[in-house]
Amino acid sequence: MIWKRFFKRRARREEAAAELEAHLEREAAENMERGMARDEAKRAAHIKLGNTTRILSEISEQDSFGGLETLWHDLRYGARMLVKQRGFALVSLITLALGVGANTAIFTVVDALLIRPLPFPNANRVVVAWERRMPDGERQNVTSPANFLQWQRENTVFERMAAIFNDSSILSGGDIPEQIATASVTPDFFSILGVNAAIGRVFVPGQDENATANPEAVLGFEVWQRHFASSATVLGTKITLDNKPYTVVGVMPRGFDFFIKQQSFSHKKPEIWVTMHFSAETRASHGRYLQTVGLLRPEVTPAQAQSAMIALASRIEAQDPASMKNWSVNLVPLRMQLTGDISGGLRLLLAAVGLVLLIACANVATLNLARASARRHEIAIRIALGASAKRVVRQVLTESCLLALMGGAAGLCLGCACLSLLKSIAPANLLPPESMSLDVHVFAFAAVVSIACGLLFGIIPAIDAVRVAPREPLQEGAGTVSAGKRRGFARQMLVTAEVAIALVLLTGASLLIRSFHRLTTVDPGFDPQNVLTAWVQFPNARYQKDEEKSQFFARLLDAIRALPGVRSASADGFLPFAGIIAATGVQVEGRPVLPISQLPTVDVSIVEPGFFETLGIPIISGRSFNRSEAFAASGSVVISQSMAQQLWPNESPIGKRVTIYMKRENKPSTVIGIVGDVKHAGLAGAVRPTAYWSYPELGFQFMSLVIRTQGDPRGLIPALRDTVLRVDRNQPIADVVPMETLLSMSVARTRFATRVMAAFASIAFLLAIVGIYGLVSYDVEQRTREIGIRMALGAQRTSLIGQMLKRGMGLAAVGVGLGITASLGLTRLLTSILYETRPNDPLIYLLDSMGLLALAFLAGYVAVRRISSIEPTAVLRRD
Amino acid sequence: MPKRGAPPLDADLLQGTLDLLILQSLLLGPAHGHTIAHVIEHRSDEVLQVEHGSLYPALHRLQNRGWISSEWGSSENNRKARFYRLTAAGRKQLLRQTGRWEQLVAAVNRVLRPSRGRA
Repeated sequence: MIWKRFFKRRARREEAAAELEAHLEREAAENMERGMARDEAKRAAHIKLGNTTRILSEISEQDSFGGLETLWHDLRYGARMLVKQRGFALVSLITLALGVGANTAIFTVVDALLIRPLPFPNANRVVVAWERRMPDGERQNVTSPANFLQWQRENTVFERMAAIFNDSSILSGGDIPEQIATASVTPDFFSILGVNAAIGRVFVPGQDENATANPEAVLGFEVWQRHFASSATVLGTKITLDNKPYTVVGVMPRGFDFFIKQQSFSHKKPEIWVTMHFSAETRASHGRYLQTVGLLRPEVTPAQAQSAMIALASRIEAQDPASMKNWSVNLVPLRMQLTGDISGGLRLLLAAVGLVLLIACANVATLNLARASARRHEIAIRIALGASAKRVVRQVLTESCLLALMGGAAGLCLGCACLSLLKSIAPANLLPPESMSLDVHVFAFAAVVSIACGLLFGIIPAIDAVRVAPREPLQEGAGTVSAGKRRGFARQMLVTAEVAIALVLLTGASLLIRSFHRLTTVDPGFDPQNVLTAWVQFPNARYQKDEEKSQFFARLLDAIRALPGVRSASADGFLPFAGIIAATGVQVEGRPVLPISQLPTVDVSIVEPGFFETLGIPIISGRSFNRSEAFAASGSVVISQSMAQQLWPNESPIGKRVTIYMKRENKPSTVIGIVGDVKHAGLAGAVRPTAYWSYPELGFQFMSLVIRTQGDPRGLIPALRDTVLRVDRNQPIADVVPMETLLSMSVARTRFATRVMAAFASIAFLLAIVGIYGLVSYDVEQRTREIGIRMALGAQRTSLIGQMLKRGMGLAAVGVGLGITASLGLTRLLTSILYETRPNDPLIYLLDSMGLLALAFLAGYVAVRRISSIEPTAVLRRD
Repeated sequence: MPKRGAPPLDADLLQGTLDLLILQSLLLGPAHGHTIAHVIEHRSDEVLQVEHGSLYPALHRLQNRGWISSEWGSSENNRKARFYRLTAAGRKQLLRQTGRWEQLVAAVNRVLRPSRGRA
């Protein structure tokens, strides 16, 4: 029934209008019969009937669906208002879009990395068990097979435990061999995580004892696609890793990866998992290289597990003080382990995001407050013309909603754009590869916060205006000299707060940028330009004798040196910035003999001849290794400058003898040269004393090639691969990257965080400036009449401009003051991530404050400039 | 214009009163809005002032509920006018509302009288 009325509502409205018209005529006729004049009779009839528009709207409201009709009217009206006030609408939209969009993108990243559950069913019960060096050594140290097995046997808190060793192996059998990241895991590994294979099966727990004869492998999804053409027949076949056969029993689902970086031998995510079996000899080994994970029993908390394991560790320590003296245990929940090194940075970003959201809300509020005062007049007129208070408030609410929804939509678009930008500038391996789309919950959060803010500050002034309407504002008219002082206070507070928050973000970002700049201008100790690096690792079985290994590298390097475009080539056991480093104690000959734990420690690496020359590490005195030393251990050592200073502060070390405890039998080595220091552990790290042996001294299975080229080192990559295969057709190379890339990758996360912080600071800065502009220009608009009168009375334009500006700048200055105070407190939190930058660097505070004030001044000036176009006569005539 | 010293009452004051008065005035036969307003004022000795502005929405509402119906016709002096007529449902409604009204009046009186007696 109501439908019929709804569709006939226009006709019905006309009918009602005609009816009222007839009523008026009749009433007027009666009035005239009583002797009134025609005009007066009509007027009296009108007064008696009341406001026809209102009556008609009351009637037609009955014919429409609840508020649907009204809603449509309000929307149309709102849209018209927004188009009319383009400036306000645009600034609100931008503010909402920035606030909602940027925030959502960052929230999504944080959510994906920190909040979302790990993709392992048992994730919340999995802890990583480390050895801990007491009293204040490494807190997360790998453990030994002997210790792991004892933990596994004697603990009371884990359902099961597994050991992991991340390795790198050669997968052969295809056209070209491939160096691939692998992990040896004990059979319980997959069942601890609670994951299963997509095809086939994972390792069967408890199979350890009898499976030694038949090693098994589980493939990662990508290597299955890449190397085995996604063939299901791969199950049961044999693959060859480092010349050893493994039976493929399963393929993991897409996206499965598990990699703990801390003290991992390989720094890449494993793609193939193989079963780890301990021989009788390794079972007793105290060499530390295993990462271990455990599945807590359901009723055991991590804290209980920690104390139970500490008790077990002290028992083990008491049993075997020789190997376990001062070693305890440290349990780390899996999530904390996997996000530990980035959560600090992400929290920082999250805080920045929160501040930007605050500023956005403050801006929306300011804008709405400013506009609401301007609308008091409009609202008053509408109420005088017969609009009901409810109706007016509802209309304003609709309008605010409209704007908020548009802002939300714009925010969604911006958020998607931001997210793809974040993905593109994020360092490799930081973000989960796929499955990261804008999070709905996250978007809803940001949208609700800023929209609620917009609505709140849109609606409160409207209610306020309705309360006093229509009398007050109409009486004030355009004639008020300075209106709404009381309401102005809230705006001023908000803008001041905005400026303060913006300054906090600005100083934070400036500090990070300065720190990053300091970091990138650090001299790494060598020349990274035009150097190509590559990782060569051969299986143990391939070259049994040390001479064979030495000869392989000598032949390989000779072949590379002969390539066109190569200026020099050499190799190093531990490349700078690549992550791994070996350290040990050293005993200088002729000094008091100390136990190993009290000796000074140095990093130890092995190099091929020409290494220092190739990387451009200066030889300060003595000589570097010659060609003959590449084939046989000669007992010579080249030391870094810092090692020379540490061990021989007042004498020349050349010719001195020092024992480096790195081998089974350690004989003293003779110092033959001193070279410059290298920032081995990364640009931000301290220089560490380093000893270089020639390759045969340790004869690693792996070396990193370093090749100085004439032009872009990338051009050499195909020729290099061919050369390696020509020297040994079963030998792949991996991680072929220019040295400069390694260098920039080592600071990638810092760069990422710095860029994002800078973006936030810019947004905050922008919003604060918009806030000041809005405040001042609104101020000018409100006081146009006052200004007109003053000018008519002879005030100078310039002095008026100055006065108006002063108000805006006064607020900005208060904001800057508050901002500096807050920054001094808050930036102290940055201390740990800043490199050679003091968090209270006065220069940065000065520059940022000046910059903010200057732009605030500019924004204020642009807003105030309008005064110069005010014509006093026009203003005064307007009333 | 009220003739007595007592101030006129707004018929809309009491919720539903206007509806009741409209229905009652239509009991005599079809009438248009203007007549209804004047009938109410006249019958109450002009104590009840019908605000004409609320009369028409009320007529509209009663029609939507099916208590009255309307048709366009010509008035006494040949003007076009909309005539309202009581429907069967409206008659029933009138009886019910009158009964309720009387109960209300009686109740209010019971409350008021003792206090008057004390005064």
